Amino acid sequence: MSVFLQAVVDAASVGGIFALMALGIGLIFGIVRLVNFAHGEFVMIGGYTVLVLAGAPTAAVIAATLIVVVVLALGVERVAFRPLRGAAMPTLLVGSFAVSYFIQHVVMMSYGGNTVGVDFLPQLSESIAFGGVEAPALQLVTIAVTVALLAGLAYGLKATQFGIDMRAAAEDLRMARLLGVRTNLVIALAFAISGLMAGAVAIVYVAEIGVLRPRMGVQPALIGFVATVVGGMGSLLGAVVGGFLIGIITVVLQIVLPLELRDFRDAFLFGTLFLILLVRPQGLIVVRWARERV
Amino acid sequence: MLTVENLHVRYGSIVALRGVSVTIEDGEAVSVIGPNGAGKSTLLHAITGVVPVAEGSIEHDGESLVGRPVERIAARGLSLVPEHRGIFASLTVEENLLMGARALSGRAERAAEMARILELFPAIAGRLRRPAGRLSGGEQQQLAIARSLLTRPRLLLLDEPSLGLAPQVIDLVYEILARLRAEGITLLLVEQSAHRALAATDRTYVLRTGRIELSGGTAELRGAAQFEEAYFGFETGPASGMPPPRDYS
Amino acid sequence: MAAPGRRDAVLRWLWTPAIIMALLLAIGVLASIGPGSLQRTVTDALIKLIVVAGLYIFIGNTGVISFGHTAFMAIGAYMSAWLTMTPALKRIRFSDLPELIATTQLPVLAAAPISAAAAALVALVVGVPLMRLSGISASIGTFAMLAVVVAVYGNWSGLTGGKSSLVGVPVETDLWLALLWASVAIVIAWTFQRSRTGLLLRGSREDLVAARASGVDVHRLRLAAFVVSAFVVGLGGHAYAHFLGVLSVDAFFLDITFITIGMLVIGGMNSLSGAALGVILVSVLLELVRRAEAGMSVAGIEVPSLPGLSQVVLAVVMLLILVFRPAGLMGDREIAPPGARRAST
Repeated sequence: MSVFLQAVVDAASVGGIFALMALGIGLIFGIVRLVNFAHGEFVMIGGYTVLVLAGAPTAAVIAATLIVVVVLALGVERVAFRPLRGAAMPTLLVGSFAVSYFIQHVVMMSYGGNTVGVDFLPQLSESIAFGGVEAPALQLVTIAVTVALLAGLAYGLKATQFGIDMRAAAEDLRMARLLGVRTNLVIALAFAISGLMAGAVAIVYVAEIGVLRPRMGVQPALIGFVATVVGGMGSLLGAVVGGFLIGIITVVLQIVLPLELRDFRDAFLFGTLFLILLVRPQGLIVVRWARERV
Repeated sequence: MLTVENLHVRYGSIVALRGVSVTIEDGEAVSVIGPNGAGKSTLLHAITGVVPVAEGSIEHDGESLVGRPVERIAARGLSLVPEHRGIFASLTVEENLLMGARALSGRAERAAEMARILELFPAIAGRLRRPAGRLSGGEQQQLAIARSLLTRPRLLLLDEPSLGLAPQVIDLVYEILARLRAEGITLLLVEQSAHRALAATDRTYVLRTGRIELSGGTAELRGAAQFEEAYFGFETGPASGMPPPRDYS
Repeated sequence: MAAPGRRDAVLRWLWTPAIIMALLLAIGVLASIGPGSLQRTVTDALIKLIVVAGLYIFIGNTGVISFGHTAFMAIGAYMSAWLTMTPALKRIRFSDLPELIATTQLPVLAAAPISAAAAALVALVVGVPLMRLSGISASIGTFAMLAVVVAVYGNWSGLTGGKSSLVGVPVETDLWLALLWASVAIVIAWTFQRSRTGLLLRGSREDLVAARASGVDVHRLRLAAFVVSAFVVGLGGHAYAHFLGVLSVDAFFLDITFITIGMLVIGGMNSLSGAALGVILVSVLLELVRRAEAGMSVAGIEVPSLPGLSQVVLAVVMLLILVFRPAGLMGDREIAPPGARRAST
């Protein structure tokens, strides 16, 4: 039983990170129809910010990281994505890929391509025992952060005018503009929130893995993209569901796979997701208006 | 208050509007009618900034609208109810209305204004929490108009409000328009149904293949031989030997 | 008038690929009288051309971006390596190879079609579900496919040497062989795009709904493009393996993906001439910037060494093209015969 509970905690924590990644990607996709390849680099820059500020008080590091990533997201939107607004899908896709690659290599030019160790919040690796489960505090913090951000976003989208504007813009940007919604503002907002998600992921991710390298954002971003595809492109709920589903599958594979095959866990993960898409190519949660655009 | 002069709009190599000129004074109700593909929607889209203008001018209270972003034109009080309504299906009815009322400041003012408008639209007043996608066509049309009214428009533009609606529902919609007209709202109505449009407005323009063929006051146009010719492109009536056109509206 | 008409049609068909191949031949001849380093650079560029031509067969005809085609390059490269290495070496280091492959040793040229076919086979299997996804989802799917291939090849030491490199691949791809394969790739790409399948694919891009309504099986067509493109890219992998002599999985991941997509985008995604042009221009650009990367003095000012500058420059150039000339330098046009109307693709 405690193995099961342990697995649940693992899945919730890992799934939470994936859900936040997928959400950050899905938010931007919903409004601008752009798959932001650079989202992984937002996380990576957040990680390097933690490195640069090592030694400063924790609260300051967290605040600064979030601010840096949000500013980066807004900057990338302004400089790279706004000139591409309205372009065809392939152009947007390749453009964001170029931005992603650009950021990776700027960091590589500054820090070299090698792995750098970073010791952030080591106290969170201590285990906390409850209900027959022993889990590192970091996992519980990750779950708490995920829940808080999800709840905050859900509330913001439902109860604030900004949130309603964003949901309207995601469904029909033209109609939203005809009602006075300012395009630049709503897009900037989406990027800012996306950046906030990425910054949060960066903080818990860096605390978890303890190492940085310029390409560290590629794998989490890829999982985020696949999560949005499996969950249903265009649906924020789908992104969250997709993220948690991948978390669950990852943990199940971790338990089920024999030792020799552990290295191939990701291959099995994508294989499983492939099978899901075979049966349901449109994803789990279908959003009607996204079908035409996508 | 709105002057469109010599408007040319192109979609690639296709010319949608050639040299269209239209004026609307404060408090007037004007309609633009014409067959499918005449360019009626394009005209509304050009005025509201949705499509770019190739040549010509559009002036609102003396200021040019050409090249200005859609949201800025909307902020000047030009409110479009598009073809197919433009309802946010994934939002509730109330949230759709809130999108209309967003420029109003303060929750109290918004609530008061919404209550006031909903008196005109009892059909949707009881369905505030429902996802707007679940409303019937007629209810969606009312929602779209109500939403636009909440923006306190100086000019209300409607693109084929009768499209896809049953005759009784169209009656209802036009009743609402008549009431609005009585309250002094400035209206630009685009319709395929000539008969309804003529009844609802003071002046009418007939648009065919991107050009204004005819224009005039309602009384003038009704029964004018050129009217049917302009609209249908051929002569009708006893002299021509062709049967009179049926009114399918 | 039938005979001359037919001959004209054939000439017009041959014109574009012939011009491209003539251009490549000219570059090859010029390089062959230059230093060895230049020959190596040109050979490398020709191999990239094979890969880009393969990528173009898919992207140019379906309009779907693939971020995963270098997976096929890896499959072709490793398959060719396995088929051409000595059995003794394979027995020692790569014990997980299937019996048939472990005991076989083929001449390099014979391994070429087999390696390419292996890549095409994988494309067929993966493509059946993948091509059912919508455009963006399919693009993400191709990236996931690459990640899987890299993960499998990177971890299966018994097959590939895992994290360490695979050495002992016979080196045979010189300038002329690369030129040969590049020409083969050009001909395949041109034939595909002018075939009924290619034309139907391009036609259905504009309006998918209309195409389906006319009975066009878009899924089958996309799959065909996917498989043929994988074949060509696999061929590129083969050529690459026998150029380097050493293989490591990382050579098939992000950097080569970015460069090949960049070449295609800059030259023109929808035109074979564009693909070729993109390879030539970007190769020259990267060469120039790489010289600058090592550090130099410009007018007495010391410019420090900046490793990674070439990738940054390429990314910036790509973005500029996407903003100002999204159809690439060639746009949708091919190199047309003189006097012809605008040659459409």
